Amino acid sequence: MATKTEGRVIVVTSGKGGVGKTTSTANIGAGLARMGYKVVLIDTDIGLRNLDILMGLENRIVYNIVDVVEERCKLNQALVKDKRMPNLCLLPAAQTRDKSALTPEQMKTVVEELQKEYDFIFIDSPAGIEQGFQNAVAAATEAIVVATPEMSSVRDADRIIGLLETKEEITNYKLVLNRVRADMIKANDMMDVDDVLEILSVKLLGIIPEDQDIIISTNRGEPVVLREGDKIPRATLAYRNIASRIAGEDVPFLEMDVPTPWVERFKSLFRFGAA
Amino acid sequence: MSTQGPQQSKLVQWWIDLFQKISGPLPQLLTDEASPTEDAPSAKEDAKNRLKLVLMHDRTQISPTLLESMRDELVQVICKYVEVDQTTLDLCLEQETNTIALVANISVVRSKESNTSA
Ligand SMILES: Nc1ncnc2c1ncn2[C@@H]1O[C@H](COP(=O)(O)OP(=O)(O)O)[C@@H](O)[C@H]1O
Ligand SMILES: [Mg+2]
Repeated sequence: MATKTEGRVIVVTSGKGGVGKTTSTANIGAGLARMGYKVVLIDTDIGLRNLDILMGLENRIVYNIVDVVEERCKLNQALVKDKRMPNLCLLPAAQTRDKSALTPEQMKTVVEELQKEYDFIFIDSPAGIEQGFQNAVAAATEAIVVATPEMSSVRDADRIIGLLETKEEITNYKLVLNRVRADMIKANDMMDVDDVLEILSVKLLGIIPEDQDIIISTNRGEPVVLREGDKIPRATLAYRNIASRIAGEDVPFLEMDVPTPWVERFKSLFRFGAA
Repeated sequence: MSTQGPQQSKLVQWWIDLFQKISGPLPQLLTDEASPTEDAPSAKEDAKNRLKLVLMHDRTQISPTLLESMRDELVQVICKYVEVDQTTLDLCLEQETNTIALVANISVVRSKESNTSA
């Protein structure tokens, strides 16, 4: 094998909190690891770390990223190996410090070292557009903007896109639209994928449906993308597709049309009777 | 709650509960056809339109108040030269393909100078 090229550094960001940054970081990262790539996930949400919980690695943390930059340990000592895949690991955030414990310069140093080892470095960013955001994007060359089809989320995504545009190092950013509800779109109660793309004029990386399996997976500490078998949740497929697209494959987007729930069918039966 | 025949109303409630449990929200099912929102814009359209406007203000950093004071000053300037219907002067932001435009729409009543000779 030829000498390894530098790993790709991708920040996952959104502006607004609670839209699925951490969920997406865990699942896209694990999805690429599942494909065989060497992946490291960095949690930059200092003081509010969560990525460890989603990965089910919360009990294995010894050191964190602040320990690394303050030289209390080696970078390798702070990396938490995933229990399922040897080619996936996590660099946890500090839980008892605040955003100012890390600078953009320090982030760059850490990431540069990781780039030699790993194919993909995913950086989970905190909510907001202040220092935490600046730290998270500092070392990245690509960005994934996560939004839900709600006004406040799309507005914040627009703001983030504006900020990403001013960063020369970011060569490419794409949108992951999360918590999409086919039933509400059908009823014209929610903006659809095209509406959001039109408003933000951004390229689409993937669509994640609203899916309770994501919550179940989080509770189990097992990213939904790693479910196997022939009855996998739609979110599993959605995240696998995103991982494949990032790896360069041309995968069609998920058809958001869910099978009609039986209440709907019941209603249309009535209409049919009336017609 | 307990007015006429507590026994009976309990039974009725039991049936309604049961029905709702199997069918989902009852009102939605029954009022579906008669819903009065036929020509009002959908929640989706509302969101889209409001969002577009908000984003134009965000992107240009021109707030509705700023737009208002610009409008008022514009009226004053224009009124020096032509007679306009002040109530119809409309200044707003409009999204063009790649840019955002400040668009003023003014109905001119007639020129101030009495050059309406003919
Ligand atoms: N597609 C989805 N369907 C259902 N629940 C979701 C989905 N995406 C995220 N969630 C839930 O929303 C919450 C916030 O997600 P999280 O990834 O922590 O957001 P963020 O990191 O942007 O703050 C979590 O409880 C998560 O389980
Ligand atoms: Mg998070």
